[in-house]
Amino acid sequence: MAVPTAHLTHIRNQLEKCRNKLAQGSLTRDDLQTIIDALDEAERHVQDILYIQAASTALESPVLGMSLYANGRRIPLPSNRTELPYQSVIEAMRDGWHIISFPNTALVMDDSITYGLGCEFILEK
Amino acid sequence: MKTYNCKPTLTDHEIIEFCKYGYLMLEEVVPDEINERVMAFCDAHPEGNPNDFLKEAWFVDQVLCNAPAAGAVRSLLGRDYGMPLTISNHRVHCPREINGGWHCDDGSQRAPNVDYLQVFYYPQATPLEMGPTEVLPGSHHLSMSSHFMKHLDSIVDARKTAAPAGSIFITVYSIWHRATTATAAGIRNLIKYTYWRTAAPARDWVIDPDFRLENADFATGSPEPRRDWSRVCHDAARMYLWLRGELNNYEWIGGLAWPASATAAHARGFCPGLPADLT
Ligand SMILES: [Fe+2]
Repeated sequence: MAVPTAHLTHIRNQLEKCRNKLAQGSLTRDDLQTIIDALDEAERHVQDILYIQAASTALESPVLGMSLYANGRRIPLPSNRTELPYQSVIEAMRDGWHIISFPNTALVMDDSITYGLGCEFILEK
Repeated sequence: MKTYNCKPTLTDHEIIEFCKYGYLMLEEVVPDEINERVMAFCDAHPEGNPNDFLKEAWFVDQVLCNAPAAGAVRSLLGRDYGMPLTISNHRVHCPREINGGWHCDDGSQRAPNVDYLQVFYYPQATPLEMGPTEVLPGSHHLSMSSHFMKHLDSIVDARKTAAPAGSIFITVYSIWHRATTATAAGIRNLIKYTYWRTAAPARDWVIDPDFRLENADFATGSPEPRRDWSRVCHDAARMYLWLRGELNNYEWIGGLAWPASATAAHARGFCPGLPADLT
């Protein structure tokens, strides 16, 4: 599995700190442990997925439904619209979610037979 | 198959509400002593299909032929409808956690036909803490395979059928539904069975002399954001006319014609789209 860029940047920063400390003669066992911890964390990393069913293909249209997987587990969400973590796709994007799938309009060309549950966006963190 | 007949109890207005939302809740219609007897029977027959219930006259009389429920079923399925062939019990040990779980039952069709009804009976009080079934009102008109619903979780406008003991709710078979998380401890029984149509569909229910087809309200209470207004009205009207046995008289011309405009004033004597010769 590819390690996310954020984790790689963090590990690189820790290594640079250790290299500087080594040059100064102040490198400790704890400094090296932070790198081991960062590697462990990167290994555990699982992509978080947010499904949002929206009323239209517009990013600001209201949510009709939502499902969330975080750290490889499904996270229960309230049924009440006002208690959902986001009221629209754009709100989720402002909180750092990236869209990885847009509603597939090819599937809704005949509105007499295909409905499903609104327009589904899939986002990841 | 055993059949049953009684007087219908639903009016045109109530039939149309059923066509729009796909379910009808009848709270506390089964008496307490019967609910208690059912609970004891479930403890003695904890299997998923306790079909021995069908041999118990008290259960058939008081639950399957329960007057308010039977009157509603009679209204929707017509005279001499077929009695359940099997009984299921969704008996669960609470607490339990449910994530996702949305589905239509196997064999669901997206058609206006009401050839059978799926019925649920709570013999015990089933508040939110005991994980009542959740339904999505109006979803019997939505097309989606259950296999493509498995990632769904929170759905705005879904309704949890929390209800007191002795409640029966009647649904269109294809309505989207799911079990819900129960936080309380104990055993929860939910009895489920199906009635069958034997008569041809006909307007054989309580006729309100003031009912006028051109004024009937086919729109759902709050604008349903996932579908166009005219489509919501058309689907409900199509089901209602199927139940009347008059679907052949109806051709949807779209636009703001009937049934989308059914609540607008048609006192002017012109109602475009209204099926000919129907009132
Ligand atoms: Fe089911």
